[in-house]
Amino acid sequence: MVRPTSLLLGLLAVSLWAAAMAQAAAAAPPKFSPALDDAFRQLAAYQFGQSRAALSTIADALRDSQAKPEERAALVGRLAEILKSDATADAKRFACRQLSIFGGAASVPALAALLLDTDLADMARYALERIPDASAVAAMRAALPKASGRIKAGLINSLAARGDTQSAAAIGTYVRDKDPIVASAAAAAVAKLGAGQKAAAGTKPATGTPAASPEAALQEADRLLAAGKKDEAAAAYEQLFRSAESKAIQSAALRGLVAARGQEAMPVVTEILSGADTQMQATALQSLRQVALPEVVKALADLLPKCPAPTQTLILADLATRADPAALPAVVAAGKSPDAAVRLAAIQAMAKFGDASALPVLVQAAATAGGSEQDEARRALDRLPGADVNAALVALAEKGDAAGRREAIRSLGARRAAAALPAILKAAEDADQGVRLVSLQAIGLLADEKSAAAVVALLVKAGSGAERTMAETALVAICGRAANKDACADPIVAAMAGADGPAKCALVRALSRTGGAKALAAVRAATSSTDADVQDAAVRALAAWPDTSAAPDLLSWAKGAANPKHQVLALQGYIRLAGLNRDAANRLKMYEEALAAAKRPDEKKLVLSGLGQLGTPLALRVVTKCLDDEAIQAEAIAAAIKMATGLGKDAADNVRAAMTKVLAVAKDENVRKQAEAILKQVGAPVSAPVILKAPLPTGERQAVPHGAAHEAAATKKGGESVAEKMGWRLGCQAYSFNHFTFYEAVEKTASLGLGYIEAYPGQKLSKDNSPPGNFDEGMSEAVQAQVKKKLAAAGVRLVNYGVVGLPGDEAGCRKVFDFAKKMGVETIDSEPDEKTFGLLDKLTEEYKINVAIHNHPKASHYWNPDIVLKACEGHSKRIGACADTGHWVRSGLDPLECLKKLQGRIISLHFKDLQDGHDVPWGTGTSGARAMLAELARQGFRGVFSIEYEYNWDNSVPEIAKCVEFFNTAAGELLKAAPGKAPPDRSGESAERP
Amino acid sequence: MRRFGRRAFLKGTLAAAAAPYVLSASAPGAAGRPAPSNRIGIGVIGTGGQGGWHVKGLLEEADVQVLATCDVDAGRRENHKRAVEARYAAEKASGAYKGCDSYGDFRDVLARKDIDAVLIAVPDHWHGLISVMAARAGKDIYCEKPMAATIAEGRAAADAAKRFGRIFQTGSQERSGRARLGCELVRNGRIGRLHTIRTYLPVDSYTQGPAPAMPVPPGFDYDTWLGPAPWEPYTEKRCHFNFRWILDYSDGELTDRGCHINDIALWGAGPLVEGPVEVEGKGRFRDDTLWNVPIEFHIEYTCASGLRIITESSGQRGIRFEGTDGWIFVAIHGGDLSAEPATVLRSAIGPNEVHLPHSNNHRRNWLDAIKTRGETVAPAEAGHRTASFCHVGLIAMLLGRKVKWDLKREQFIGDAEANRMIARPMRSPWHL
Repeated sequence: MVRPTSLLLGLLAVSLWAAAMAQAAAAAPPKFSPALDDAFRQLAAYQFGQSRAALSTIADALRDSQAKPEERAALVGRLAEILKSDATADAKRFACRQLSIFGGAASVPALAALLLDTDLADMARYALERIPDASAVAAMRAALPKASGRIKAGLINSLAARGDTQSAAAIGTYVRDKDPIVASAAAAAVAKLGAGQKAAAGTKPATGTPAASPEAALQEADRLLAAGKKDEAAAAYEQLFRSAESKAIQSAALRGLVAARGQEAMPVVTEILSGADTQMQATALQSLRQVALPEVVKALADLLPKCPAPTQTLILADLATRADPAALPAVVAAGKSPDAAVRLAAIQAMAKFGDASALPVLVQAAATAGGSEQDEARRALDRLPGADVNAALVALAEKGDAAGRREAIRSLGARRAAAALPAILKAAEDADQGVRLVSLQAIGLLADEKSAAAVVALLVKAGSGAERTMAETALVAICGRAANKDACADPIVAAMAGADGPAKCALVRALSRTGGAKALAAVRAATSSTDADVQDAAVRALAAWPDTSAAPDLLSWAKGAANPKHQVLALQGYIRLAGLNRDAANRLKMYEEALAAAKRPDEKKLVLSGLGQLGTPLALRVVTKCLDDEAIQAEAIAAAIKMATGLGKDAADNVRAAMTKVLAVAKDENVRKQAEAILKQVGAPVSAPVILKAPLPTGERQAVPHGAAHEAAATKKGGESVAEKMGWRLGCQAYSFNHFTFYEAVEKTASLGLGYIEAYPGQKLSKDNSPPGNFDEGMSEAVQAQVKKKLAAAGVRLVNYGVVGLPGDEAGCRKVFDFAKKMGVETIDSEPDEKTFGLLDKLTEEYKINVAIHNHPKASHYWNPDIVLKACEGHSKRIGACADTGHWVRSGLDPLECLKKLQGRIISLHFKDLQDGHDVPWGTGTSGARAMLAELARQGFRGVFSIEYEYNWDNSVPEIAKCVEFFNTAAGELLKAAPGKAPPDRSGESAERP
Repeated sequence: MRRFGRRAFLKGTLAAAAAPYVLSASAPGAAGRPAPSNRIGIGVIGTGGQGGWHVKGLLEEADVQVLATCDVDAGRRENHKRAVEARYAAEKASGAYKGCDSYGDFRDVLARKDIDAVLIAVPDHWHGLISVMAARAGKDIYCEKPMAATIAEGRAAADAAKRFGRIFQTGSQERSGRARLGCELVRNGRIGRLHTIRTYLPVDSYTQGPAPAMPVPPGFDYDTWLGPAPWEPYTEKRCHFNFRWILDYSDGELTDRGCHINDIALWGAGPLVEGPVEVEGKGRFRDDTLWNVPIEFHIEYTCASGLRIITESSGQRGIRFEGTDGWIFVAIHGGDLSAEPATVLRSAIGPNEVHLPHSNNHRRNWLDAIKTRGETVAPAEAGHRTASFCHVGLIAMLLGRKVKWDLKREQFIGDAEANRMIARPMRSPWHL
């Protein structure tokens, strides 16, 4: 809708001037560049389907000529010439489009000449309706009587859009035109323009003139209101409201009535609210929101208890929006309604603008109601505004029934009401165990080190394991937050002597969060405890110590502990502490000590990783010594190469010695090439190194039969499926359910009858935060155990993990691999930098975990399988592709061709079938799902298909079920077609199952 | 949830409303569904990819009865009609059901008295006009994003929804997800003072290929498909799905996913988006024989509050809110959040803070609002504001110069050519 008046005023001058310029231009033909001249010549012959290059040239010139009026006028003039010429219709349509933006008065005659043209009338109008000059409107007005049918209707519509009241009378005569298209356009235009008549619904039309439609009457009333004739407008609106049959018209009339009468419309609103038409009631309340007077709020509050329940919920929602405290007593009273929906609406209103007076009702609802009423009551308690709310909640925490007190305390914690702490500390010793537990939980959220002694006392005298655990969690949270760690350590140390075994363990664990000399002495003493649990907790606390002060203790435990488990724990802790050392020499010394103490390759590898990060020439020398140790040779080689690359010529001697040694022991061709390149870079060695020819690695991904546990999971739905006979396993990528938690994803996968899942990093684990946090490498061991339990219970095996980042450094990669190993993952799907592949050769072999390179669509590095193939060349067979068939399609590639190219390198799949750019059930899209499966069968692919269904996010299970059905049917057919073909398993099962 | 009496709901006059409010407990629907008279009768207008998805979703809602499918493509409307009837037949003792009609003209759907609400999932250039006509016919509306193809049509649709008391949900469904939390954190100052929002809209690089003029296939009403848009020769690559690459119907990615992404940006920015907004945009437009939307762009919006919103056609699809104390990134689709410092994401929104409306399911949120006559999570004004924001960016790129947008008056300041682009004249006989 153009706002004509302002445009007209603003642009009249400009247009006249532009017209003058156009005339000037005609007098002296403008000089266009040859390219532009040529473009106009091409335009004249342009037909749809041809290149639009010439059109773009002209459009750009017009756009860029804003500050050059002569050029603009000339360009616009040329377009008018096109309209007058025998140029193609497609060229003329283009000209009209451009003139609609850049044309002026000078363009009007050429456009007006087309207003009755069967093919081009719409496009001429397209330009004229937008040209602000009055002559444009005049041209359409003039054409009106000559036009008929659709062309006439179009002119009427444009004149109405321009608000041309001059045309109103003429348009009025077409309201009863025998062509319904014309008549309907005229009726709408008359309503819009007013047509100068006093239209009102129900008025008998004079003979020959049409009845005003309710729509027209409504617009007429709007005009009266806009003109300040409030009484007349209100009368018209009320009559319309009473007589109209359409609820839409009634709604609009009611809105107008309130706008005209304000608070005085209240009797009509009350009448509506006393009825049962909830839809009109909602409209009435919404209309009434235009009036924010206290009288209105009071009237609504008084009306509330007298209305039927559905109306009450509407009024409550309205009062919530108004948030006027005067209505609060009525809202609180409604919170005790026998009707559940009314109570819920009242609770939601209290959440918006309640104060302490709402607390008893809310606490009661939170303690006794179930379902959404309880959820909403808790949400309201946690958000209730008002300064006096916390103090009132404390009072409720101190007296009343246990259930209510639990809710008050829970909410004080959620509200982070620090002033409530004394009361909650007291409640932590309550007779009711539930009150004690919720108090400890709140203390963990609220308390600082000043409360450490009190929490320690609660921990020591905890009446149950659950309380002790809760107290320990609170204490650990306090220690973690404390600025003054000693203030936490002192009371813990003091309480050690009087504590029983389990409490002592908890205290020792808490000390590993505080650190400090006193704490260390206490933990050291605990390591000599005769209680095996306490001793174990103490050694673990040392291993988790926050600074290097525990290093000497750890080293001596690493060397001399009677329990081999303690040796390992202590040594791992020692190596970790070494990494905290800022002084490179001290750090190196600690690593050397650790190497000397290490008995297992695992810890030696940890040291190598630390040395690699240290990256000094002396560290390289230590690594070089490790090259002889076969158990850790691969890691030593990788570390040496990485360090040598970093050091380069700065430590030529050390680098040369290291690389010479690498060449002496390394068999991998790629590694050897790297070592040689480094040697070349640091300069000529004293004597040429002896290049030992070593056999290439066999490089097959390790094939391992399915373990018994896995077998059970995979066949939980009864027997081995057809697909599994082919070595095909079907699962879900949890990302399909990214609107849900990982736990829900597992449940949905199980509900589909599938036994496998691929996790992705960052998915929230569970709805109720138990366990808390997301699925990623940050999961604690306890959480990992819970997640594994969940998977086992659902009969779903976690097989793949991705798409997850693998950073360029070894330590970063190991974090991912360690986690994957612990979770029993077979394949990590990732898009690592190609430079990382050398490191990945080592890690995939060491961990027996594959890395599959995933392809995001074009513009991401691995979009094309050629790039993946090239990157994988010469690398371990444990590195391959995670074929995302959907993203190939999005990148404009043929997924079947891509699969063929990748034969032998496919490790995992994000299998998809797309239609219109999004996932659809397999077999119903355009990606050729069946042909892709046949190709994979032909290749003898074995492994996991992950269904990654990225559509219909909130309810995709039915569509995924169709994918499963398609997959099973197709697999059955493929097996029938080639029954004897059971290809070897190259899917890369993990060698060790946890 | 309170059940809703559809009889009371449908009969509008006070006289009819005086009849007692009855729940038809004596005639419950099959499989635990509310009685037919208590279901929301819905017509789905546009049953292509997105509309088809909505049909499936609506069939799972117990308190909904899909009464009509409507599409200018006969195959599409008939397929979905059959699917609807098959689904409802399954819950009938007789195993038969014939209660879903199919239409080629949406005006026939709007004329049906038993249809309470319409779901509009047609190409963008039809959104505004069908919304206006549906509101005038008294239907509640779910309309896919963008709100409309032009600023003026969006304004008309939002005005009509308000005027006729209609429940309106824009399909900015990212609001019904984790993005809300990101916006609440921003609104409540968790990253300090918000100064910049970056919205990333990488554009899919589809290939157009040849698109010659061709005969309109049987069963496809091309004239109605074009509707108010200028006439152009028919070619397959103009219509289904691909309309989004053509400026007569769409702004391209800018309004396609842009109406998700910029919507979240504006939701998170809240009152900081105030006018006048200075808009400067550079774009490269597709130069195919048919497709012509911007394929690369960089648009900077500077609000009167000093807030800058930068939209560009690269990066990871999502919204990055940058404040004086950190940043929050909301990934599209699904609203995965990341932040610096990461602890921000664990912070709870407390009492006396800004809480945004809560919804986990966009379609359900609409249905619930129809029943409670409450506000949806993405109401018409919000949808219009977001779509306008995107259109203003396109206009700045088309004109290749800085423009100033008056948010309140919805006019460009001192730029007559830009103002001509606010509305688009309609092909006869269509009009607002």
